[in-house]
Parts: sequence; C-alpha cells; structure tokens
Amino acid sequence: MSDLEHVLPAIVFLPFVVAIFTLLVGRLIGRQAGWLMVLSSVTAFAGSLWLFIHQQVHDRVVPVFTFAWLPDLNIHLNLRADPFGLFFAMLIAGIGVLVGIYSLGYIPRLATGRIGRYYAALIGFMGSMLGIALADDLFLLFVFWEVTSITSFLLIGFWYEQDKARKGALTALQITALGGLAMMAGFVLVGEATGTYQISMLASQEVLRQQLADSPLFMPALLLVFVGAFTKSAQVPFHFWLPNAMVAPTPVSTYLHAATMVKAGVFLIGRMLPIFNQSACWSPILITVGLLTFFVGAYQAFRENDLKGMLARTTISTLGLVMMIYGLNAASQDALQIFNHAAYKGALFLVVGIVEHATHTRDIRNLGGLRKKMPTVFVLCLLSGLSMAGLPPFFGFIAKEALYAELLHNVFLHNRPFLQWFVIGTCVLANAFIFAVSFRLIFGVFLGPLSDKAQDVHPPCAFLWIPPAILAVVTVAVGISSAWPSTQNLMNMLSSEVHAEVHVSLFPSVDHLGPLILSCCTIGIGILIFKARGVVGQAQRQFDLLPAMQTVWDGFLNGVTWFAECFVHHWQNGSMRWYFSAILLFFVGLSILAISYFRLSFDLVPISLSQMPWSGLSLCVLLVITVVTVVVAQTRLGAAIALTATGFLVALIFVVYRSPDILLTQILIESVSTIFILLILFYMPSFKKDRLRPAQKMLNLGISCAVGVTMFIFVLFATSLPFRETENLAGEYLSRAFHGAGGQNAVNVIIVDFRAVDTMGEITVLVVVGLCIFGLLRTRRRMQL
Amino acid sequence: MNLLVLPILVPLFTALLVALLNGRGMLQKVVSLGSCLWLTGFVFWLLLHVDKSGIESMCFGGWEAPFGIVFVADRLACIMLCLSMLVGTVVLVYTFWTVTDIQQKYFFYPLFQIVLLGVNWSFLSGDLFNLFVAYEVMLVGSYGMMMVGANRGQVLQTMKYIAINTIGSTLFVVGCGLLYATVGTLNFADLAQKTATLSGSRAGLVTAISMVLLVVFAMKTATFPLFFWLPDSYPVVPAGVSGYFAGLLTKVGVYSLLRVFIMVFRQDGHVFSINVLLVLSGFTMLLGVLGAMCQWDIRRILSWHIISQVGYMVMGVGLAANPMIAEVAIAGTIFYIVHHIIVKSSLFLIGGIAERVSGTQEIRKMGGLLDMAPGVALLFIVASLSLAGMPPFSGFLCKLVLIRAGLTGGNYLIVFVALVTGFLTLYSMTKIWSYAFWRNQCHKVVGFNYRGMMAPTAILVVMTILMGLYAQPFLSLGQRAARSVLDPQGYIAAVLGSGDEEPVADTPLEVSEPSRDPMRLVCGQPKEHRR
Repeated sequence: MSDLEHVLPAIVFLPFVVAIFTLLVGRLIGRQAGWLMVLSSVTAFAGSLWLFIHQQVHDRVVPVFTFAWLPDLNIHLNLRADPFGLFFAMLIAGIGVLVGIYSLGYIPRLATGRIGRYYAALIGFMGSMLGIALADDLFLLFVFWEVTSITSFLLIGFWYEQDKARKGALTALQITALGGLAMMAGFVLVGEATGTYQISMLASQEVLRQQLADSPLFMPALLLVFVGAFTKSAQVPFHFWLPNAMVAPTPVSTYLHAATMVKAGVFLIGRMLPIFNQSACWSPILITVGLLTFFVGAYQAFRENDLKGMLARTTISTLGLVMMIYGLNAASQDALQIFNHAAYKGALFLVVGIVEHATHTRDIRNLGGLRKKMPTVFVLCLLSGLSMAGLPPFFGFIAKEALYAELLHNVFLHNRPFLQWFVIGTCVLANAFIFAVSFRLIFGVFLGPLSDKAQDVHPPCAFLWIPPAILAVVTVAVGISSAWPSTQNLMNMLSSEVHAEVHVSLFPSVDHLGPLILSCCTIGIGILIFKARGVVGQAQRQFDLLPAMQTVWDGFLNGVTWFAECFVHHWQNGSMRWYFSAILLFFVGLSILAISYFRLSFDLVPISLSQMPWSGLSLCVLLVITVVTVVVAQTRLGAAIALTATGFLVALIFVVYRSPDILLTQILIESVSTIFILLILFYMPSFKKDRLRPAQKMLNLGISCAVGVTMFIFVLFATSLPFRETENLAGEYLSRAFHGAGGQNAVNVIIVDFRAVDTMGEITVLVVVGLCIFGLLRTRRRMQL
Repeated sequence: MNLLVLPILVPLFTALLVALLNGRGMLQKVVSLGSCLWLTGFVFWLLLHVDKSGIESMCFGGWEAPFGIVFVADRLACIMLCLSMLVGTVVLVYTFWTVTDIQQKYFFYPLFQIVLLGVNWSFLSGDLFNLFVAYEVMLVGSYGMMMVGANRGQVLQTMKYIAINTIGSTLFVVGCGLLYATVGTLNFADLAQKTATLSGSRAGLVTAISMVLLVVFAMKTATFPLFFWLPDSYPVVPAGVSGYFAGLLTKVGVYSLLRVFIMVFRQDGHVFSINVLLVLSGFTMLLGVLGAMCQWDIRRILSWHIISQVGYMVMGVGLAANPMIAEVAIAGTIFYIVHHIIVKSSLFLIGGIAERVSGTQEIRKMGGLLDMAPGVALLFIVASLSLAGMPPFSGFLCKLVLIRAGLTGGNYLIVFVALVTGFLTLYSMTKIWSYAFWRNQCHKVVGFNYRGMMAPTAILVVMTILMGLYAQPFLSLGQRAARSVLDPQGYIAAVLGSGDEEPVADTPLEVSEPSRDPMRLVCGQPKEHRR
C-alpha cells in the first residue's frame, strides 16, 4: 500500500522537475526537448494506468497521499486517486504523449531558446493538469488550476510577435484568472462553512454536506465556484476567449483547448457534484448555461470559416453538453462524453494542424481537394469527422445515443415534460449543427476540386500523422467494441459516479428506440443544414445569437482604463496647491470626525479668559499680526523678518509661563534659522507672487483657518484639566537632571543626556543636509559650466 | 542587550567612514558591502535569538525605560530588520553596476548607509519621539538619494517630496506633543500600559489625537488620499536604490501602523481608528491599481502598484478591528509585508535591468526582451505573478490569508475590492509582459552586460518562490509575531520590567559638581509647566 501512495506525488511533480530541466537545457538540445515531453507523459500515463489496474484488481482501494503543507492554513497536499481522477489523469498523460510526438514534427526550427520555453511550459502544464485531476484539497486544486492558466497564457502567446497572439493570450488569462479569483473566494466560503478543504471528505460525509447546505454561505460559494468552472470551460457568456486562443500553435490548441484544460471546468463540476447538488440552484443554472452553450457553440461553429475556429466552437458546444449532463445529475456518463470528445476532437485538431502546416492557411474557403495530396490524412479526418457527426459505428454515435437515452429518461426532466421536449429539441438541433460542421469540414478541405493553395503540398511526416491516427483508431475501436458489454463496464468504472449505470451499446435495443429515432432526426436535420449551407450561412450572417462578448469585454476594460486615466489626470495633477489642500483637508476632516464621534464638546473644557495674563494676551495679538504680515508680505526679506518676529514672539511666551531654559533654546534656534534664511535669500531668484483668483485665495484661507482651528481644538482639549495627564515624566526629568545627570538646565540635560540619541539623530540629519547641499551646489556649478 | 545598538551604529559609522573615503570607489564598495553583510548576519541571528528567547530591550545611557530612550527588538522588529538588511545588501550589490561617477562623487554610498540607518532605527525605536527622529533620518537620507547627481527635473520632484513630507513631520511632532499632554509618556510600552486604563471622554480624546498620527503614518505608507508624493518621486530615485525605497520606505509606515495602532493604542474606542484604516485601505487598493493601469512607464506602473499593495497591508491592519480574526489578520499583514518587500524590490531591480537592456523606461518602446534577455524575463514573470497573487508564489498565500480573514469576519465588501484589485494587478502586470517582453525586438543597447545585476535580483526572486512553496515556517513566524503585537504584555515586561526584575544595570554616576554647568546662572528654579 505504501508504494502506491508514493506513485501519486511522483506522477504529479515529476513533470515540474522535467519542465525546469527542459528550461535549463532547452537552448542546448533544441527540438529534441520534445522527447522530454514524450518521456514525462509516458511515465505519467504508465503510473496512472498502473494505479488504475491495481485499484481494479485489489478491491477498489483508493490510494491517498497526504502531506501537511500549510497546516496553519489547513491546506494540505492531499492527492487521491479515485477512478474518475485517474481517468482524467490518463487522458491528460495519454494526449500528452501524442501532442509531444506531434510537436516534434510541428514546431519549426526557431531560435532554440523559444523551443525550450515552449516545451517547459507544455510539460509544466501537463503536471498541473495532473495535479487538478488528482488533488484532494480545494486549495491544492486551485494552485494547479492557476498554474494551468499561466502556462496556457505563455503557450497561446507562442507567436508573440503577432498582435493577435498577444491579444488572445491576454484575454484567455484575464477571463480564466477572473474565474479563478471567484473560485478562490468560493473555496474559502466552503471552508468557512465546513472547516475543511478536503474534497473527498466534503463529498462523502453527510454531516459536512448538511452543514454546508444549512450555511448562509452555501449559495454564494456555489455561484462563485460556478463562475470559476464556467470561465475555464468557456461557457456562455465567458466563451469568447477560446476561439481567440486558437492563435496558439496547433499542438497547444489540441492539448489545452480541446482535450484537457477546458475540460478542467467540467471536471471541477464533476468533483463538486456530490458537495453542491442538493442546492435548488444546481440543476437550473447548469442546465440553462449548458444548454445555451451547447446550442450557441454549435450554431456559431457552422458560421466560422477558420478551421480551428470551427473546432473551437464545437468544443465549447460539447463542454456545454457535459455541463448540462451534470445539471441533470446524470454524472454516470461524464467519462463517456469527455473521452469521446477528447478522442475525435484531438484527432481533428491535429489533422487541421497538418493541413495548416502544409498549406499555410486555415481558411476553409481557400482549401479543397486535399484527399489526393494526402490520402492518409483524409482517412483520419473522415473517421474522426464521422465520429463527431455521430454516425455509427463510431464512438460519437454511442455517446450521442447515451445522451438521448438520458434525456428521455432523466428524473429531473421527467416531471417537467415541456422542459424535457425543449431540451431534447435544442439538443437535436445543436447536434444537427455539429453534424453539418463535420461534413463541411470533410467536404470543404478534402473533397471537391484542388485549390490553388494546395497545389504543391507534401504529405506529412510520420511524427505528424501517427498521433491523430492513434486517436482515430481509438474512436473506431471504442465504437465497435461497444457491441460487447465490456466497454459499458469500463465507462461506468471511469465515471465520477460510484455506481454508474450508463447504457452503452452499438446496437440499440428493440424496447428503447427513442434514442435511435432522435439520432435519425439529428442526421436528417444535419444533412438538410449542410445541403442548405448557402442559405443558412446567409441567415447566420444576418442574425447574431449573442452580442460579440469580446467587444463587451474590451469595452469594459477600456472603460476602466478611461476612468483610471481621468482619475490620474485629475488627482495626480502635479499641483502642489492641490496636494497640500487635499492632505490638510483630509487631516481636518478626519480629526473633526473623530472629535464628533467621541462627543468631545467644549462643555468638558473649563475655559476662562480671566486666568490669562495680560502679557500673554498681548503677545498673542502681536503673533497674529506678524503671521498676517508673513502672508501678505510683498518681498522675501519682509516675509523673512516677519517670520523671525513670529519665532521670537513664540519664545517670549515662555517668559510668560516662566520657562527660561526652553526660552533660551528657542531663541538660539530662532537666531540660527534667521541667519540661515537670510543666507538662502541671497541665492534665491526674485519673488514671484502667485496671481490667484479671489475665490482660490478664499479657499486657501479657509483651509488654513480650518487647520488652525483643528489644531487649536486639539491643544485646548489636550491641555485642559479634565484631559491632561498630570502624572507625566516632567517631575522625574527635573529631579534627575540635577541629581542624576548633574545639570541644572533640564532642557539641556534632556537634549544631551536623557534623550541624547534623539540629538544624535538630528545631528546626523544636519550633516546629511550639509552633504546634500554641497553636492547640489557642486552639480549645479558643473551643469552651468 | 546592548548589541541592539548595532543596527544603527554600524550604518552610522560606515556612512562616516565611507564619506571620508570619498573618491576611492573600490574601497567604498568594499567597506559598504562588508558592513552590510556583517549586519545582515547579525540581524538574522537576532531574529533567531528573539524568536527563541523573547523580546530584548536596551536603554540608552542607562536611563531606564519610560524615562530614557529604549530600543526594543521583538519578533516584528527583527523581521523588519532582517528584510531591511537583506534587501539593503542585495540593492547595494546591484548598485555596484548602476552607480555613476557623479553619484559616487556626491556621496552615494554614505547616503545609502544613512537610509539604512533611518530605516533600521525606526524598527528598533521604542519611543514615539525617537521614532520621529528615525523618520527624519530616513527622510533626509531619501532626499539626498533623490538629489544625488540629479538634474533639474529630479530636483523639482524632490522638492515636492520634501514639501509633502514636511507636513507629515510637523504633524508627527504635534501628535507627539498632544499625546504627551494627555497620556504623560511617549514610551511605547508605557503608552500601551496607560492607554489600556483609559475610558470615557479621555479615551475619546486620545483616539482623536491618534488621528494626527494616523495621518502621519498613512502619508508614510502612501494610503489614500495621501499618496501624492509616491508616484512622482520614485521614478526619480537612482535605479537600484529605488528597489530599496519601494520595498522598505512605505513598509516603515505599515510597521508604524502595526506598532502604534495595534500595539500601543488600547484605550476604549481605539477600534475607531482601525475602522478608518479599513475604509482607507479599500480606496487605496483600488485607486492604486487604477493608477497603474494607465501608465506606460515601467517605474511608474510599479510605483502605483506599491500604493495598491500597501492597501492590502492596511486592510490587514484594518481587519484587526474584529477581535475574532485579529490574530489571523495581523499575521497575514506581517506575511504580506515580508512578501511585498521582497517582490516589489525585485520588480524594481528587474525593471532597472529592463531599462538598461532596452535603453528606455517606456514599455511601448521596449519589446522582445524575452528573446534578448530570457533570464530577466523569467525573473520578471515569477515576481509579477507573485505580486498579482498567483499561486504557487508567496503573493497568493498572503492574499489568501487576508481574504480568508475578511470572509471569516464578514467584511465582504473589502474582500470584493481586494479580489477586483488582484485581477486588475494581473491585468497591469501582463500588460508590461506583453509590451516589454513579447513583441518584436526593439533596438538593443549593445555590449551591456547585465549578468552582475541579475545575481542579486535572483536571490529575491528565489525567496518569493520559497515563501510560496515552503510557507509554513514564515506563516508561523508571522503568527508568533502577530501574537506578541496584539498582546503587548511581553513587550511591556521587557521594556518596563516586571516588579521582581533587577534594575537596569548601569545606573548613572552622581555628578557632584553641578556648578560646572555654564547655563546654571541663566536657569531659574524648576517650574511646574515644562514641555
């Protein structure tokens, strides 16, 4: 048992080690770095397969790996290999092998550094996808989730010289990161409600689930997690990033945007199903969003002319389908649908990549007649395309049969006949569109007359056609083997539901012909749409189902940026007057707020002017006069003299309060600063009086007065008897000054002894100011020379 | 422990020595680096020591605590000291490659040591007025740094910076005076002890007075609406040093908020000021990141991001209003400070390299840096993702802690703002990536070797990866530090001594001849109303 546990972290973390290694040696080995991708994915696949077989043989024991990563945050490195997780891991690793091989032939000989980075990101991506598949802790899952967003960003932007590539990469990252943040908040709420982040515990323990369902945080948590899953799986209205991400190299599109990453959202919903499905919102939201996406994706795919765009939109469509299946609580066929889609869509993407590689175009209008030039690829495309169309005996057919069977017998829908027929009708129509898309693909690219662009194409090398061939074989093999019950058993085993009972068979039973009839309808409507493609296309150009979400999103971001620009332009405008006013007003406002909040009223302060000595009062009057003089002075010298007068008058107040030592210090400081000011005046340019409007002047006056009044109120309160602390350190200082430090001037003793460190600091300040001024003057002189 | 004086004594003497060595560049570098390395070692030892055996304090001149000046090293102060010295050393090494002859001639190295001195001082100070002095030293060092070898435009920006900070300094002194009048002491431990006993309208007045200090610290942290000085002044600072400024200077403000508003003010109704901080933090986060979104100058973008990131830290302080989540919130804040100092410094250093390689600060004129300097690109993407809070780097975890604290406490609005800010941060950082690192190559500054600047930067980037992947020790250290800030009994005991502790060792000698004081004749008898 202990061996099994340790396979888990090896599967997940080995790719990261390989990725770092690839990054380091990428420059040296260049394209051969692809073999590292193949190697690591084969290892991961073998590990997952071994775990799966072991699990099936030995009583279905689920291996669990636990490591206390962040016990303080209750986040643990828990990995758990249940069948659904292992299925997903095998899918990731398996497609990883194929994409690795394909890349060897696809990625051109570029500056070698870029190839190393490409493979490093690809391998890192695989590791984080494996992490998502096997994580058993919400936050561990989240960490891997975000790493896939980042690596996907780097991979989409592989052709970063192109504006479209950068735009596509940025949009993809923005949307998925937005969802990621929502998901994080949702996970936190789940943890708040239940006290654990362990997925298996949340799913299995009835008490915790009840606790969560009773919590007021249940709904917000559910919605936030949904946002995360919908963004990742490109559900309406977040679907627009996926077609734009098709600027990525084709192996990346295959791997990330068809087979694995976009399925992470669906996978998450599968994981969350047992935790959240008691909510009344679960089914309505998932069915609405899923069905809408299913139809919109298929509808828009038919309109598209870009081959990869077509495939991307059908991918969106299928992801919507799986969301809907979860919404119907029909989790037993999730593995079937996911596997089916990965197989045919992966192959089709790779085929499109071959076509693009050979003809340097992806526009279906410029292509045609390629069957003669590359017959192998044609066969592969035919097999996968027919599977996508849902024709027997391919995998796609049995998946579609299973879907229709579910729709006809679903418990949720059964009680709502109107809804049931609406859902079935929409599904048939959407599938018909997908049927038409696959025919359009096959006919448009491979049949018909040979186009100009396809004149001198060469057949693909083995690296390019082997991977899609393997997928096509899988499509056919699963389809045919479903004539026997073993396929059904396997699909049930892999599903996220423990006791899955999905009916999978190539041959419909005579009792249940419903699915077969629906399939026939689908095919019939599909052929009609395909035949009338000119008319349908015309209609589609006239009639848009949804506003272009990309425009909406860009508009939103531009709006935010516009607002930001306005804010910065007006707020950080470089005017000192505004800066000072804002700071001082904030100070005044905050102080008044606090004073009124604590109900400090003047009633608490005994004020009597009679205690004021006449000498002090007259000094105050003089002070006011000098201050006004400073402000209104017309020359610098006048202002300086008035300022000095203010200083000395303040010093004189200490005479009134009989503190000669402070007086002395103050006079010294005032004298020195006067000398300084007069010295500086010598160097100053002539006095330029601001020409301010009267209103501006009044405003400034008002602000100054407000600051003064606020200060006055503070001082008044702080020094009046009910508030003043009489037991302060003054007495202690006075007695120690003489007895302890041997000085009679307490202020001096404080400065040079008790608080000598302060003085040292101030001396340092003076020295540094001296150094700065020295440097400044010298530089100025140098610049003048 | 008298060794506590070293974090200020060493930079002070190094500054003097290096100033005397002016003109001998090599020797200046060696001396500066040696002293920084040595002191870094010391402060890390101090952190371990304090973490293990409790808070250390030291009285200057032997005048014991509420009376004389005291330096205190608790876990928080030690963490900050370690960061200051770590980043300081890294930046110093980095500047060896960027410093110009003019800068070197006009006291670049001494000024750098003065900045270190001021920053270290403010972490150790255990007295409000002494903290003011430390601020002044730090500020004057930063003024000097901005003006060293500056051109006219830089001097003008520095003048604005000085003018705004002068308001701050004035308010700081006013706040000290008012507080002394109402509480009767300025020593942190003594204040914490005395404010805890206050109630009624006296407590209200102390809280109102604390608003003066709140404005001072909020200005220092560049909180809304007081961040005017930051976006204009940081682009002026010499390349490498801006890394230290960006990392440390605003965080001195956050440290002071923690120290003063969480630890010292404990009167009835002190929650008012914490709530004010919470409100301000929301605006700070959002407006800071909005400011970053519309800039095209790499340093300006990063400077605006400082504001928005400070918002997160102030949010952590603000969340402490709720006693249920106070410990988590403060621990998160401390972890955030550590993360942010490292990441923001490294981003400024990386930005400096990008400027050098491409010869411009404007990201629209940069381009193709990924091909030109892949190593720099790697460092940048790690640091910027960490800043934006993407896993598995440290930024993710500290955002997670704060967001969890906010959701537990029911502060949904601020959490929403924090999440939106996180998204916009990512938007803005990917904009830099997309313009500067992707795209076609711009012209390259030929023959510029940036390898030497890479090594120190890489140290910081590796730190953020480590703190993300192996966060447990950092988290638990932050938690221990938070505990001792929230419950100042240990701090008070270490500074003021409990009853049974031995008196401070060096009692001053009795001077028997007071007549030697030349001021004796002028001075009258001691009066009641002094100071």
